Amino acid sequence: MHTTTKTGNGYTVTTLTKPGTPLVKFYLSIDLHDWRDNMPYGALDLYTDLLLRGAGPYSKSAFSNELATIGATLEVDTSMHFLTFELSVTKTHLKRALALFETMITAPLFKPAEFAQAKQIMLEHIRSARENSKQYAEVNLNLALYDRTERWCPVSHDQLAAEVTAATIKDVKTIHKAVLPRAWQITVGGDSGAIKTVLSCVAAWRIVWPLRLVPAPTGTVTPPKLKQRLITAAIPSRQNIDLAIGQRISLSKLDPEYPALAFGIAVLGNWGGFAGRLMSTVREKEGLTYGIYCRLEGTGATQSGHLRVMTFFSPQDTEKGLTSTFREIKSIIGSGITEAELTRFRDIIATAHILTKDSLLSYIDTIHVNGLLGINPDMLETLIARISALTREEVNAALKKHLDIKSMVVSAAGPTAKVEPRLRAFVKTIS
Amino acid sequence: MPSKPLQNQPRLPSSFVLVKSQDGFSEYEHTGNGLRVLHHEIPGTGVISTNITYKVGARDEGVGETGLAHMLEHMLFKPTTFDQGRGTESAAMLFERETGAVLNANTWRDRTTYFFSYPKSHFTRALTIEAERMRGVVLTDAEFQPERTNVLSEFDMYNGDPYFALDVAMTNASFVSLPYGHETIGFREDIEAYTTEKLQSFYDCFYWPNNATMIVIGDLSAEAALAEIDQVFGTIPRGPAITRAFPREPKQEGVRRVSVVRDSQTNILALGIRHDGFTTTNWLETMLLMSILTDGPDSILYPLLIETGKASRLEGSIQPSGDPNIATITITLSAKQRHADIEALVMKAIGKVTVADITPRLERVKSSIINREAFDRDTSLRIALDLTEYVSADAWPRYLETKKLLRKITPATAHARLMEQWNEQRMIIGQFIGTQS
Repeated sequence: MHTTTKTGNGYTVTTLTKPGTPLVKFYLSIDLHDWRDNMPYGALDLYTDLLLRGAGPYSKSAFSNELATIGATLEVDTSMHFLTFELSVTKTHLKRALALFETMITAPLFKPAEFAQAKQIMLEHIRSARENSKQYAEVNLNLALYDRTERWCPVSHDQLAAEVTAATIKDVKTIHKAVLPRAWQITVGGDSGAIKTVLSCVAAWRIVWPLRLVPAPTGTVTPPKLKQRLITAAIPSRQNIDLAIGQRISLSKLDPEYPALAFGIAVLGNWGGFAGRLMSTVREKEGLTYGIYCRLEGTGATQSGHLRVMTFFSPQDTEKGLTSTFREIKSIIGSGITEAELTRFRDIIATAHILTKDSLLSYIDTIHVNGLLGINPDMLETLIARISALTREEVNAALKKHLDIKSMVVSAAGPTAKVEPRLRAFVKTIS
Repeated sequence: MPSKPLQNQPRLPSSFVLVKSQDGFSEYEHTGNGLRVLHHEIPGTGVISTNITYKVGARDEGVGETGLAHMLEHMLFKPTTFDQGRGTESAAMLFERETGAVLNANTWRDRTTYFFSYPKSHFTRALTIEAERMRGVVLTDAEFQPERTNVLSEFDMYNGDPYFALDVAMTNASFVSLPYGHETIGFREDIEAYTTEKLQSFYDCFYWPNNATMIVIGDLSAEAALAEIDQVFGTIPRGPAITRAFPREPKQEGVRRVSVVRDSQTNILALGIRHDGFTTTNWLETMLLMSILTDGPDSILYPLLIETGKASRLEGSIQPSGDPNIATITITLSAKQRHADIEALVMKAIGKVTVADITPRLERVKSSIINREAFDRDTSLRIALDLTEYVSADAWPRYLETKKLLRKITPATAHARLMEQWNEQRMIIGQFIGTQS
């Protein structure tokens, strides 16, 4: 597979060509970050839902049927202050899928009955989400670490519910008029013929929606000062305490120390596998949890992000589990990684990259998400190359400089009433 | 034992015979120990995925032993006698830790599967790990006790989820004799009571080459793959014949109802219907019908439940298993809705479905499945994993025959199946009742 990036009239596009593939995947993202002071989360969520509820001659079910018949999937979401459309289809049905997409963005119906229904369903989903302890722990962590105007700052369940309740169909129509004339960031993967078809459609759409530049947001945003080290959300129906432990990291992906820190974090808690120290000790040796991982999130070319440790413990093991977790974090800050770990994780990270590139769908996702944050494919390759040349000293220096137990927040959700006093006592010991 | 002379085939080790070839996939059998190999080459990727599937699962567990197959799955990631001889940690874990290979395993009703995905230079290493743990797992208390704690932790992770809790209750109620009546992870009480003797006996019964299929998908020729497999597995002896005598499930006469009551805001209704085993026409019809009933705004139940605001979530699910099982429609009730009312609404609506209602929907669902298939075959790992259930059902060619199989199903046959299945006297109906709502 090979990638190219170029700029068109009102859009940038990155293409990922895989000869002979029948698959086509297409992302179109629009930056809404200049709305950061007053991001209309509720109306935006309703907008993304309503786009799929009828357009042009198609009712909601007719539109859905058209997509289903050709085996296409079309999703719309807002995260990181981007509006993103994601379309996947086989090459055989590409033109039909693109026609449906065009109808959706040029002639959405926004029917009042659909609006009312979307609102009601969304409020029910928010109600259910209040019992998702894993998600709740993560949301609360990010609310503590980020200023509300930052891309990675989520919206609380309460705020979202209030905004959805208050949103009107006029708000949705206003959003639609405002977003499409903006600059588009596109990533498309497939064979060269499919890519050519997509790009000619994009050029035509750009004529329908001529570019209107919007000023970038001004002023710098300061991460919030740490107010509380422990945040709890009581969800008595759950059996385990879900935890998100984190800290702001003042590095962007282009910072020279970033690769070293990312490497060290992988050694600590390599996401999704068994290779990290946290899994080896807290799970395998001590049997305290089924899964414990960590990674850096939210970093881009200019944005700083955070470290997140994700795990869960039974209520009776929460204190022990946290003690073990922080022991490992302290150890890696204090003593760093070993030479053997340096060698191993070079291979692990290189293999992960090979396996990602084995899949058009995985690779294009990686390219697009990084692209939104200012990291193009060449920069990604440079980062990987940089990682393979790191020294142990560089990694250990980055860990020591950027990880700080005293800046870490523990966010817990689940049957926390049982453990809250012990949690508070524990957090005092790491303050 | 099926065997065919090798004609127009790559040069293969003499210890392997070709069993069947279809559309670039070939199945072979080792004449010495009965190991099956299913191979498909994807040249130029530099990646191989291997998946060894043992024909042992939850249904092989007796009373008081539920979850044993899954516990054993965990134990296969512990050091083997070979690792102990080398003085190293588990070779499987070391593989991931040293190379970054993707690895995992899972257990289901009829089979347990272990898989790796890695750069092709590690092929022999991956095979060696599987060969060593096929007969070399160490099942002592020192290795077992900490891992049992992990399994209990996994159990608690699932058990906190209301959908899982209701699913457990539904599964328990669905089967009186056939040992499908428990979740793969087992009951907590049984997990707590395992002994290493039980594990050893289970392992010695089922972990043999003649009870396994090695699936190899990726950048490697059949010739090279089989030569290496022969080298690594060839000396493992054939195991004793496995005799299974599963009881037949008695006929259900009368609806079975279960409920789970917890301190929660969630309320769920689950409606379970019976179907035949995986890859039968009955199973396929049921799978299509689940989609017709629940999938998307044009499904039969969506307008009744979602558009009216009575439910916030609607899902149909069916699982692949060799023997008859249950498919379930799961409905998350909106606030202030009553389980009994939703049940009555759904049963009435399904009872009124006509062939004309099914016809356009059936075509769409079939078309969608056929057109999405390519997305499920994006990588060697996806292919290897998707083949697992077909291999378990002794029907791997059907993985390649979706269009042909779906063509057999007509609106009339689908409608007849619907009417036969949605008979309350043969159903299992479950309620998750949240006391906070």
